[in-house]
Amino acid sequence: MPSLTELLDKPVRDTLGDEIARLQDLVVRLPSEEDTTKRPADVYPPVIGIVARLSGPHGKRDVFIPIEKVKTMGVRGVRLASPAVNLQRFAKREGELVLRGLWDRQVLDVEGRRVVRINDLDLAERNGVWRLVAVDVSPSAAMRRLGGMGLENFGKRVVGMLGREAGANAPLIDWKMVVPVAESGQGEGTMLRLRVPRDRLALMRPADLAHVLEQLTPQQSADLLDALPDEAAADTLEELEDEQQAQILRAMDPERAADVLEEMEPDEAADALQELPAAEQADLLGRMDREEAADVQDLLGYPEDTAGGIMTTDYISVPDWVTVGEVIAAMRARTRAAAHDDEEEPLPQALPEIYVVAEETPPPLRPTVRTNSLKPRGRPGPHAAAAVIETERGPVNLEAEGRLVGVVSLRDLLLADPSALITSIMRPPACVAHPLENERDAAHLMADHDLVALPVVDDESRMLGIVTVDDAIDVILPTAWKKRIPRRFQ
Amino acid sequence: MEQLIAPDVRKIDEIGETDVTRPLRVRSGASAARETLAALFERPARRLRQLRKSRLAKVLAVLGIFGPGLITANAGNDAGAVATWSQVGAQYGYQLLWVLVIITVALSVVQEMCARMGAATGQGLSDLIRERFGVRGATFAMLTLFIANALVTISEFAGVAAASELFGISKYITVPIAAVGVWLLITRGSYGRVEKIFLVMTLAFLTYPIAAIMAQPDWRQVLLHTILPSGHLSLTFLQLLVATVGTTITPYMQLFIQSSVAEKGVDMQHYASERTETYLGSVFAAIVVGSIVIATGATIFVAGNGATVITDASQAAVALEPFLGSLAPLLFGVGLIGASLLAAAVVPLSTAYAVCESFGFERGISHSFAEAPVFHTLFTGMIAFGALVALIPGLPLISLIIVAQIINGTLLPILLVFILKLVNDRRIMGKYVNSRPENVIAWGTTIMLGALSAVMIVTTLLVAVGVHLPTA
Repeated sequence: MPSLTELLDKPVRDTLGDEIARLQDLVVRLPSEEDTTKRPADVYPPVIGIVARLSGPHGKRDVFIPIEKVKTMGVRGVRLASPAVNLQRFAKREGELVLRGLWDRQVLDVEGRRVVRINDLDLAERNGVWRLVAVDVSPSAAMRRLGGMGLENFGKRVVGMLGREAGANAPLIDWKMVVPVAESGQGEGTMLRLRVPRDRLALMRPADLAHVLEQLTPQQSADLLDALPDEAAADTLEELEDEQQAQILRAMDPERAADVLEEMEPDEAADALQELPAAEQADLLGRMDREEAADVQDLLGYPEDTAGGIMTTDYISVPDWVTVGEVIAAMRARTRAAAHDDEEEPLPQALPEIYVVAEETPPPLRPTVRTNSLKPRGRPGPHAAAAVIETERGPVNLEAEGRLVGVVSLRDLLLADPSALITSIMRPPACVAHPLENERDAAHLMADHDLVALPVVDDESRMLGIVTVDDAIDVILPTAWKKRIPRRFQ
Repeated sequence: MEQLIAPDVRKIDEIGETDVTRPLRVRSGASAARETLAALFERPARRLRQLRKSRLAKVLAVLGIFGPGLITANAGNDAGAVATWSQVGAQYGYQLLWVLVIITVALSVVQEMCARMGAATGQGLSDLIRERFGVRGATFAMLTLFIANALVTISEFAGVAAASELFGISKYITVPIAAVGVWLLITRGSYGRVEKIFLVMTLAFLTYPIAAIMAQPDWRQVLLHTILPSGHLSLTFLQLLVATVGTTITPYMQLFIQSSVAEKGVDMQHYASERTETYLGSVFAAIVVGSIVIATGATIFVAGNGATVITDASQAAVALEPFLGSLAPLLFGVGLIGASLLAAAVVPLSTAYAVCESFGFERGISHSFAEAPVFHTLFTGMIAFGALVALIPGLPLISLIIVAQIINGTLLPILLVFILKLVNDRRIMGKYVNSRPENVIAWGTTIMLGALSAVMIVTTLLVAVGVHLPTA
């Protein structure tokens, strides 16, 4: 498996064995999605030709020789199969890539979950076809390029004396496990922009991908996320710091950013938006789905360091007159509906417990004057009919509003008799938080009482949202110190 | 059964027993109301506590924002800068103030270029060099950076040595302690916590402007020399000239500013304030440096009745006497130690990072020595080497520091060429390439400094082989 460095600059000989040029570069065809489904081997881009550098009395000239005219290729050089060479100057076509251009570029190593720089490329011949098969990120590959095999071996020996590099065992990354990262910069046109293979990116868990994005610029991150579905992009963003989320959202196309925001947990979306200037915040909210935007907007009203600032409005609350069976049926109906209809909101991702509220009767009597500036969450009304379970007392609302009277764990819900009233299995809330309570106090309250979720209620104990344990952990764990100092100087 | 249909509020209330100490605990009904009331009464105190917390948080945030700026501005005023500019003032009085004006303009332009590259590309300088110039170019640039930064490290430890002699403690005690201490701070990851202490120590140098005014310099002379260029035709003058540039426009500062802008995520739409900040930082550094020259010029130069060569720190500290009196050596020493340790930690670490990043070696303090041997060897080696050179017996410390700055000055043009090539590359910078005036200043600096360095090297060699030069 020769490396590109070993192949390049070697003589190109004609049929008689005379040197007519030097190997300047190799050209590969980047497979489209169709290509790879038709010929799976094309995941490794095939070499379609060589660029030979002729030096004549009139200076140098690069010509393209299709791979069919190449008899053999190796570390000793290239031997041509046919005597005739088209002397047309080489020009790269659409979908083609010169391998020298890949040198020194950053790529994402899917398996290693890191951003690496290409030091060299490895090629292999199988069944008469040369292909780009691996990326070499080892320092010895850099030394090989610098001073050939001699320096590479010398370098290996020196580093070997010091110790064993952590990555020394696996310096080669399978091309299949590589995701190209867009070049950063302001220029256009000559930029190397490779198609981001969605399936490869999808192999990474959101937390891992987020870890990688931390090493990239916001623009590069936005480009990568563009290849992912909205939901996966949202999950990834949620793993990042608020500030980074905002920077990446800003680098995205606004329409796309709004789509991703809709898929994010409302509290995460609100935190990210909080970091943006007011005008951009309003713009993105305006592009979002009305209901989702309303949820996020309500959360934006609370100061960042309060329980209200870290709470989410994504939870299940049911009226106090329903039965266990009705609640379960309603949850299933909603999930089914959400699977078929994009408009329908799926159940919250984290669902540790559900809440029982005493609805204010007569129902939705929305008071127009509030005793304080706090706005209770403006939950949307019942959704499309298909998703709703009707009972004698009306439809079962999974987003019932009102005074919090009890908490039901999913475990108890599952084990209870379906005909039992929800109130018969509920516990009174162990503790609750006021939205303006300090976030640390709320988090410590949760830690003290081993809670997975803490309901947030207003002065009239009306349910506003919940603080989930993952957000509480973020508050308690010390934040990475001094984000503002460059990483390398820490 | 009938009873259960409507939730029995009282029943629930009985189950969750009362805990009045937690006012925001809500059960339901009457007890909730009771507690809400209690909460209302307690809230003023709570709110006040929150307010106090957040005010402290704000102060810390402001410090956090100014941190990098202060570091960048103060990092220029390290042992090298203080020694070099003190020497300038002591040897030539105010005569070289015009050089400072030119250097400040050049510094502003160069720093702004790097900040702009950070904003436009989101990448650090070493990344861009590698992408644009490949392995060969990156190797050359990194080698230059490595040598320059190794020299800076030497001069930082020489600074520690000079300061300790000021307090009458042998450098053979303080320098090893400083080296081991800095190494421990880095490897234990606790450098960030101590950095603020170093920063506060460097504030001692802010007494220079006051000292400069209190020394009652001849302001007419000061103004005259700031505007009118004048000089000598001597090797010492030439060397000092190169040293002043080398110590003020240091390679690692350019790396630092570009990474910090890139990592803050500043983009070109929000770059304007960053630009202002960069210019302000340069001007701020120039004011401190200028007052060092004036303060030394008004005291040591005048007292010595003309050219005086500073050979140790106690001489340089005299410049602060008009303001601090007998406290001058103490504060000078504190400032020197703070500035030296600050850079002695940052410079080796950032160099090791940049070099490893360029070639793909494992890097980061989170990796053990076994995992990242090259990274650890590099920064440990730089610290050890810097400390050892500073410990060579009989080496005049101030001269050692200045020689390091001279070599830094001769290396600077190499890095400036890389920076200028990058910042004028439309593929990288798009429409944010340099304007013509910026290019004139930056290329002018590069070529002038290159020529000056070349002349200086040739002259130094000639003198070394015994050729006599005409002295003016």
